[in-house]
Amino acid sequence: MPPSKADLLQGTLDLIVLRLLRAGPANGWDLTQSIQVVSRGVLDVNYGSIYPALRRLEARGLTKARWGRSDNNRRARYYELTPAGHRQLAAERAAWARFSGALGLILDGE
Amino acid sequence: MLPRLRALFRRREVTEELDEELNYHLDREIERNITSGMTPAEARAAAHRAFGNLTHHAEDAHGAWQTRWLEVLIQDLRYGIRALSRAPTFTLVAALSLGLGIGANTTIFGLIYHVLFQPLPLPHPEQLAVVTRIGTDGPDHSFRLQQARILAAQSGFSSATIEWDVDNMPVATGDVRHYTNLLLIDSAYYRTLGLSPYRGRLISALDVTRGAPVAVMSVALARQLFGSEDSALGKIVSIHDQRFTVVGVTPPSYRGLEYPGHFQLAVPVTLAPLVGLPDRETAANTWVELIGRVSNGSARARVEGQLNAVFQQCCVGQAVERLALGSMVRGIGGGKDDMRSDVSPMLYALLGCVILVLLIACANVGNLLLLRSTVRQREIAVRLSLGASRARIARQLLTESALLAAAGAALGLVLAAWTTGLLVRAMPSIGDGYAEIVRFHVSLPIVAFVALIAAGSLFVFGVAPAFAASRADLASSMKSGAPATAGRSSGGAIRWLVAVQVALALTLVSTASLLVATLTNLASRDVGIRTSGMIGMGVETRGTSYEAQGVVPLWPDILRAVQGVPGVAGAGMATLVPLFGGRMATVQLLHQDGSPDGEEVPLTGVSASYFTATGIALIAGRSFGDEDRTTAEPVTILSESLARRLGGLAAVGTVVHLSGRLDGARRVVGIVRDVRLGSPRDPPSASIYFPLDQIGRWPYVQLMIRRTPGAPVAADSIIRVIERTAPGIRVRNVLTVEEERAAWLLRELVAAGLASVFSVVALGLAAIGLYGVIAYQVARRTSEIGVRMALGASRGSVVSLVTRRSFALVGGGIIVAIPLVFAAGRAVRSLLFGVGSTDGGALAASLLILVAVSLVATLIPAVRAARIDPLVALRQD
Repeated sequence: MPPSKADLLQGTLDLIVLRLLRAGPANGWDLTQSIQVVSRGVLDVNYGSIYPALRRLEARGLTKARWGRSDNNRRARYYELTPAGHRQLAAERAAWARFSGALGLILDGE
Repeated sequence: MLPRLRALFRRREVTEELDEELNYHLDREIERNITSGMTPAEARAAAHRAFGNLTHHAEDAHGAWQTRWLEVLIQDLRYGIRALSRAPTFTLVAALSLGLGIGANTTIFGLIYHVLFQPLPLPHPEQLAVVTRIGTDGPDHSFRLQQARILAAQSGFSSATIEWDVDNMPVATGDVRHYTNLLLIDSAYYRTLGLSPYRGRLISALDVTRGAPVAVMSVALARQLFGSEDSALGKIVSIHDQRFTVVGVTPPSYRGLEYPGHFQLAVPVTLAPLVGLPDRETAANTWVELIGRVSNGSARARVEGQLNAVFQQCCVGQAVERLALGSMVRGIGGGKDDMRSDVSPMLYALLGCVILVLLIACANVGNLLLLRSTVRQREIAVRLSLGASRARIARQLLTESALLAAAGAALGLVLAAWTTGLLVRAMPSIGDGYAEIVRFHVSLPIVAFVALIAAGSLFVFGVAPAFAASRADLASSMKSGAPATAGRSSGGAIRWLVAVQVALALTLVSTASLLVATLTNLASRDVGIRTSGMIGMGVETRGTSYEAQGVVPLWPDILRAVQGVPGVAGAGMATLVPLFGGRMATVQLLHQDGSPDGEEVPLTGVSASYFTATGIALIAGRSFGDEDRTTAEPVTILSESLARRLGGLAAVGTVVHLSGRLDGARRVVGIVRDVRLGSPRDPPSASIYFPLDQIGRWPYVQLMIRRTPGAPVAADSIIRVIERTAPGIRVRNVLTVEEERAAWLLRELVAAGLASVFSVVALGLAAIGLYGVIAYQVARRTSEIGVRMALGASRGSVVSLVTRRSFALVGGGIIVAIPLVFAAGRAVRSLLFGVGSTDGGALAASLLILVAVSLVATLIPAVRAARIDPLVALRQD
């Protein structure tokens, strides 16, 4: 029995992608695999969500894309963070920390 | 943002990239499935299942580019073009209507902009200022050179510059001699202007201080003298028989600093003596203008203060005068050719006319759209029921209207360029400077104006039909196969629009008929000389070898030679001729005690034959004769209004005392009829005539020739005879009396001509509107008419049924028009002559024209209605 899957909170996919891209350039496939692995299978990102998210981030100038070679030597589109992406990630992480801290206080408090 | 733009404009490339990316993902999924033990086929199927609809993902991903609205717009445009091309007649009529309306407006706006508002083609023309003396005689720009020097040196108006303008300077290349005006410029002139040369270079400060024999000319003169602006560079041009090198050509848009401007040729001011002008340093009477640049309002105020301080100290006499820095954004105005205050009422009247034309065009298109929307109701209902939102439908319809407006705007620009070209060509030759000004240029203000009125028209004709149509009633529209019954409201709107069109067209036609009546009144006005078969030309000694002696010793030989040419019925000479003008000079009549008697009177020197040749009737006494030579008793002839002042017929034989251009005592030998020396609008003016031999040295005489009817002499052969008699003399402005009159009536001609064209356009548009509505009604009532005819109605009664309907609309229009007609007449009152602002004849004529046009527009569909076969019509249902 796989661990039960959780729904993504609205808007968090962008944050997740930004965070994963901080480790270095990655393509769409890599990202879906990473999300599954890192979340220990809790989050299973739909293919239909990851590509719109990537396009959205590119349009906002937070990432940039180029064509590269994948580990199985095929042409794949690699995304990496722009300086604006780094700033956005920092800002959103801080906001998330505040939000989740506050939520934790409310949910766990007496 | 770059990626977004790329997504929009390189959609295919971006889509392919996305496909490749998604396919890569799919392949990895398949690989993973195979590694986990599936067969390749199973793996593929499972991956595809997991992946879902590839296209849908692609669209979703693409949607993230946020260019959806633009794509919708492009889709709307594509759909709109398809919809319009499916209804070519509608599209053509609508686009043509708008094109005519926008074209007429653009033409007039172009005229107004170019004549009244166009700034000088110099960098920051608003900084340029001309020092203006404001005193009792109105603004004046001229200063004595010494004063100007003091003002410039002591006021800190550092960029002060001086110019000097001379007309009729002889300019030659090879054997060809031209006369043009010459500008003498000082060292700071071109630097102050900031003008960039079109070819070569301009005259530098060094050229001026050194007195280098260099010249700069306009493109027009360069083409006239050398064929092109490029071949002029480095060539030698002879000015007043002195050699100058052409170093540069000014841009075509530059007409000089004066308005309207006639810049042709400039040389350094230090070379004035070389071209036969007094050395400005030593001449007693050198008048100059001071121009310069001030960067902003506070600098302007400061410089004005300093100039006034210096001026009060150095130069102000007993006259109460102060100085101001006059704006010259649109050139220095107030010159003799500055007709702006004359033409601006006409231009604004024409603007009113074309706005009416545009409104009619908009009403037309609005009407067509409403008619079309009733036809398209089913299509719209289907789209609504398939889930299109009403807003989307309205947007779609508005897009179609915008396409029409854009087509109209493009058409309008072309039409405006064409009509302006016609206008320039139709302008009489004296309008030279103006022809250059009104020439059509597609410039930013023009394009902005076209865009603005196209958008404005779109709003007027497009918005209401779009929303009316999108409010279509689904159920009733889909129910029947027959064309849906148009909503009562839109039918009412259509009839109302037609009535408004008729009203506006009638207003325009009546205004145009007032302007045409004005033109015919002025054109048939007696100016005092015979007009048919007359030709005139100027004979001038300035700039020729005869300059020192003037025309007086030459004229008898020339006149005799011309009178001998076959085809010449009569010839006379005068220094001042009605319509043609000449050299204006005045004398002051004196009382016995030497005090002035009445106003100064323009004087005319004439040959003995002048009165008979031009048909100016002698009332009393005698005409001049061969006996009135230089050495004989000084004599004069009075015009009748002057004679009335001096005792009527009894004035003959008395002696008048004069001062002014001529002085001393003169015996009155005769009285002739008055002539009109100024505009044909002016009242007859008092004149005083002298024998040509008794007016001293004179540089110019106008030769008037009456041609033999049936065998008129050619102007060329007269010119040849004159040049043979006095080689090298200058003959110019060869024009018939009719041509001269047309030049005087330029403003009236343009107003009447354009207003007539516009009213024809307006009538045509209104007729199309009326025809469209009546034809539509006939089509909708086919079965009703069929029933009537089956029940025994005659064809005649069907025609009268349709005609009655049509004329109810026309009648409504006429009633609406009555106050408009009166208002329009009052608005153009200042332009009218010999006709009141509410003229019964003009109104009746306009009504007649309108009714005739409406009748044609009605009878075509009415006759078609009468041809309806009852059997066919009834079988339709």
